Amino acid sequence: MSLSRALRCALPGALLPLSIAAQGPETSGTVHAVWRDPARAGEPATLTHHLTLDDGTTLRVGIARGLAEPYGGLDALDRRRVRVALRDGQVTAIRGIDAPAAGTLPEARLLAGLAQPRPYVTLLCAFPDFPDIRPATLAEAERAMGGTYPGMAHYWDEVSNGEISMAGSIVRGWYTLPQPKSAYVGSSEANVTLLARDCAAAADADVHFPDFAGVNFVMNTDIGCCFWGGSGGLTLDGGPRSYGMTWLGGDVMRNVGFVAHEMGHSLGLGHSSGPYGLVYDSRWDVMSMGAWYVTPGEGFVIGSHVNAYGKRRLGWIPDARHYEAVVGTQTILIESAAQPAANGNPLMARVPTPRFGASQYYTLEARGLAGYDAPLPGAGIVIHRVGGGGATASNVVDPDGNFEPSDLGAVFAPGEVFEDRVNDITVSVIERVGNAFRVTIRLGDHPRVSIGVPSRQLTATAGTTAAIADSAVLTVGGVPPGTTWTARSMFAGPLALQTTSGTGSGMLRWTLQTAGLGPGVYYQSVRVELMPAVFADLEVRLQVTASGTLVAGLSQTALHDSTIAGTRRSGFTAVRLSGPGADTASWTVSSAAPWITVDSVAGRGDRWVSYTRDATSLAPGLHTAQILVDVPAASPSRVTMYDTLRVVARPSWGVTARGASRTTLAQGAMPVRDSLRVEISGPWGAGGEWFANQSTGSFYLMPEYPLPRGSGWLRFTRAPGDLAPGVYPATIGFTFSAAPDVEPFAIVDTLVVVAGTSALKLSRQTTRDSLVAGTTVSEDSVFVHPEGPSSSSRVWAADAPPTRLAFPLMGSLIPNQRTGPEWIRWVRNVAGRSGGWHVDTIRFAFVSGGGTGAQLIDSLFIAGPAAPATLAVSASSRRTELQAGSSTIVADSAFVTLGGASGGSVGWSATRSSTWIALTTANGLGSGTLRWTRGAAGLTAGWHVDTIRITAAATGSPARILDSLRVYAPLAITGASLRPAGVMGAAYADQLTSADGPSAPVRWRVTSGALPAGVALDSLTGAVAGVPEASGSFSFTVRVVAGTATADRAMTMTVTEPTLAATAVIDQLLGGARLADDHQRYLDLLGNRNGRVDIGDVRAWRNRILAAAAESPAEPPAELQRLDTLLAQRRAP
Amino acid sequence: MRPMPRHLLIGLAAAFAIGVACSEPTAPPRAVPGTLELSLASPNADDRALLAKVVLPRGVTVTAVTAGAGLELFHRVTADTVRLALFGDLASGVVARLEVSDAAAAVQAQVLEVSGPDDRLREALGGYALTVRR
Repeated sequence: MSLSRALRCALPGALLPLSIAAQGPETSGTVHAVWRDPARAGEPATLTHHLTLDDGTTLRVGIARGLAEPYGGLDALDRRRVRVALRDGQVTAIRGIDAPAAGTLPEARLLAGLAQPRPYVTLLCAFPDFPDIRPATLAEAERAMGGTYPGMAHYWDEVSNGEISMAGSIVRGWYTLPQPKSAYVGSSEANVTLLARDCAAAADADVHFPDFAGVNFVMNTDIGCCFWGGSGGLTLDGGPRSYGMTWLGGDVMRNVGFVAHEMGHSLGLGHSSGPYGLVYDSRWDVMSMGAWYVTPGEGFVIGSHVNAYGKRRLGWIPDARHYEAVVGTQTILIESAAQPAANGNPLMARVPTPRFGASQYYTLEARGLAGYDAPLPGAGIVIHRVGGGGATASNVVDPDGNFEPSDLGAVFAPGEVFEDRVNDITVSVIERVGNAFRVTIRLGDHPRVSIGVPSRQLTATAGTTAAIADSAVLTVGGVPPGTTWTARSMFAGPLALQTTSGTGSGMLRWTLQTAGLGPGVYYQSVRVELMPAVFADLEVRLQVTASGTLVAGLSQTALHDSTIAGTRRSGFTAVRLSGPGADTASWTVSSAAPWITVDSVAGRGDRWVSYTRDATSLAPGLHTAQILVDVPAASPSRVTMYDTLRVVARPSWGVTARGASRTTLAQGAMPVRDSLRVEISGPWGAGGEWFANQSTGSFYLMPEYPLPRGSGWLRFTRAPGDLAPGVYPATIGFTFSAAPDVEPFAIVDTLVVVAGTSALKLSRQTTRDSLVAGTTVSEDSVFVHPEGPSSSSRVWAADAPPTRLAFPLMGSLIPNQRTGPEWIRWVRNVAGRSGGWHVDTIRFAFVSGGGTGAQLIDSLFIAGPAAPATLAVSASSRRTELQAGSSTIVADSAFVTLGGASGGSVGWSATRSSTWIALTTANGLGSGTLRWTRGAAGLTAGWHVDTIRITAAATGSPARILDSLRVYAPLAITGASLRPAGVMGAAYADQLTSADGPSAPVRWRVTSGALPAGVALDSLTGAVAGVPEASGSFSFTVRVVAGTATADRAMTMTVTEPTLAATAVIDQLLGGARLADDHQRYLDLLGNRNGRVDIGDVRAWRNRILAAAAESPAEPPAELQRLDTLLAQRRAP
Repeated sequence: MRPMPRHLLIGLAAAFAIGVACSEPTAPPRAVPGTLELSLASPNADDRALLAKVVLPRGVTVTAVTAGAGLELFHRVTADTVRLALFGDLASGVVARLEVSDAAAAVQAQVLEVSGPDDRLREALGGYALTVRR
């Protein structure tokens, strides 16, 4: 096979093909979503979209979240054919959405309960400039992707509970790509479209692509910053056709958890996370932390299951095993999410959170019990909050708030209770029953509305004219009698509501107008709203199938739209023909309405038809028109599109934002959350939906679901990242969903990044765990965030006693070392330890480049066999320093640990010998803190050392702390004030020196005056060096700083000019012997400073001599005398 | 006495004619010393210094170089090249004179650098020309 039509690939970023503009404002194609997962923690995950046009061209496009909201959000657009308006690579409007492409996820959801074959082909491709690298053999790759633990086919079979099957998956390769790595991979991006095209083309002879649901592209080296997963289009073997796709590289066949994560994206899953604004911090979902558990024996690195929210979205938790909590108290058994028994117990419970919003809720699931969930830190109920506005759609509920959502703090074990007082919710875990947990859920009464069966599937045959009537039970509660609800269709289509409002519970009725509909799948959505943010959605799917005769239809037969007076707005429909001759049947389009202009008046076969409604001359009010499509060969030969346009007067409106609009953060500081109060006046102030977007990468808006209405809060995070010190304005634009054509309003938020010092910050300074002797597993983690310049690329290391704490090797990371912001986890070695407290210190430091480190105190309490009381102190030595004569007091402390079962009742006391130490807490009972101070009063300069002895009864030898105090004389600058003279044009070097002062590193700077141009002071070394560019006397004041001490000194430096022989200067100019380099620099500095000696420089030198002679005619300079002599010689015949 | 054969007479006449020609060769033209004037054409009115090069044919020597009116001149002579540096208010016209051993020799003159009153070099020398006049 060969490429029938070569894909043309759009380059990432701003390089979008100009042909889009030539195609006009609207185009149609299939949307493909691609997630970018950076290898380094701290970098945000990003979701990009590509649009694959009918000719195979793939464009990278931006789609604002708010635009997709009426169609079910960005996720719902994946692999869907759309008609959109494009401007500068940005989708500005979605004009229509078509049936999902064959084999994609919405079908999976509809076919829930049926095992679907979803085979993947994994292609191994090598960059030609790295010909010898093969991180895995074909057999090893087949093992990683295969059907035995932990191969991917085995993994997804368990995670989907048998809902999908990857049987039939194959691995092929290695193939050599046609272009070098640099053609595909940049420092922060990879051209995934090009990688897919070339890798697939290389394998085309061996693979029939339509046999597979997805393609894993695995390269032989890294592919830059990231891995990618999502979907894409291929034109091979017919097409274009959509496939799930992943882009991976390097040693990924060993770290199969990363493969699972990207395959999850290719199945349509987004990320989940903890509640702390990070993305990759939750072990409860492979779509957060993909690879963290090393399998015994073979050493594969994998993750756990997909969380219940993701499984439900993909239809892997059917309605029969999904429990919807109702008002009141209920007790249920929630079965293990992994390898559940076939007993009908729910696999999840969904608990609405009405005070947060109608689209927000909690999910409850039983985790840590079996299969891929077995390595999780504990067994119990895990709760996610969905739609809460965190970094991802579902966030782990972590009651201990310790920035670690993956520890036991997130597990609700029997006896534990989760309480949400805002929503009046209580979840009590009663007991474990086999591999299930008995849970009591209490949900307080609240305004609520629900639809009995919220998802409908109906079918019709093209050419029929009968309307389909349908209805659903509507249940309303928690509001006073008589409270009115309203129903509205969310977007245009064949659905017509028969019931648009009512009070109390009742029936919701609608019809589907099938007349004129062509074959295809029509999605319709109805929202029933009880009050703001209290609503229920109904989804209706109408499948129209082809008949045996040529039938003409349209993708939509009615369009209700609105626009602002004085504007133009486009409309659309698609001609759908079915039956014999459908591909070639011709048709024409017309409209009698003078304000309608049809863009394409004739065509053949299935095609989109667009037209323009010109409201420039229409008065406000309702205007209707008919779009007539005539297909002579079809029956009926005419189908009609009814267009209703509401023209509204141009409104006046405004947006004001209150809150912080200018924030200062240090370079590399941790991200900071903030919010702005948005006040909206005018026609949308009372409830118009809006969404915001921003223009720079230093400012991240938190997604808000559902879209805010009227005045409200805009939440966001500012992250200075690696931004250099400076001012970074971010433009936040506001767009109203009801009127996207209205020019958006924008406000400016300013982030000021100031220089920061390099330092390691920890999410917490202490960690502790307690367990019963005999337990083998105890582990913990901390988030380490480097601050200061280049913080995301600074390498740091953790150090701890190796016999007591271990940092498991994760993937290919260097043990104990990480780069940038990162979680680090450790395992406590429990074996052989006796009962009581065990305290260790973990030290964090930059590997190179300097900066302040950090340390963490890790405590482990083992309840077990009594051991003799032991005495230990957290430090064996301490040191500090003070200036002689200073009255400053320096405090210090150390932790005294009394171990053993009886340690808590043993007293301790401390003593010292010298008077410069004062013990402020000198005794205690059980473990506690020893505190003391030091003072320099009466001490001479030099070192003073003393020992603090801590003793406790029946603990053996005393513990000791060697305490050292350095007393220093005041900091001073030494050396002469008149510094060595320099010569203009000649290299100059001097060294400033200081004496005494604290032992902190010294820093130098000039505080007033200035050094000669070309000469600079090195702030770290005190060296003064350079090439003086001017002559004269230069006075300046130098300051040296060490810690908090400073010293100043006024200094002078003179720079003279060299004396040059006139013959030598002229010879240099006329091509004779060259002057010394210093003298050449001098002449050039005098003249035009272009880096060489030329006629202009010699002229300047000559004029300088002549000017000096004019000033002192009695004593002309020696150069002038020599110049005159030379002139006389040269003039001689 | 037998008369000399005709072909011998012709050969002797030819030999005589050749002998006369070899004993009295024609003298080459003599080199005539003289003065070459270097005349500058400039697109600027405020030139203040000029560096130029004059290339002479092999065997032609320079005996003296003098500056144009109001100018200061330095020069350096090598095998077949004279480099000149001129300072002062340079205007279009004669800027230097060269006394050479052969005034008819083909001489080439080239402007290398020109600076203005601010000592900066003229970036483009396209409009400059040095003409040699005899």
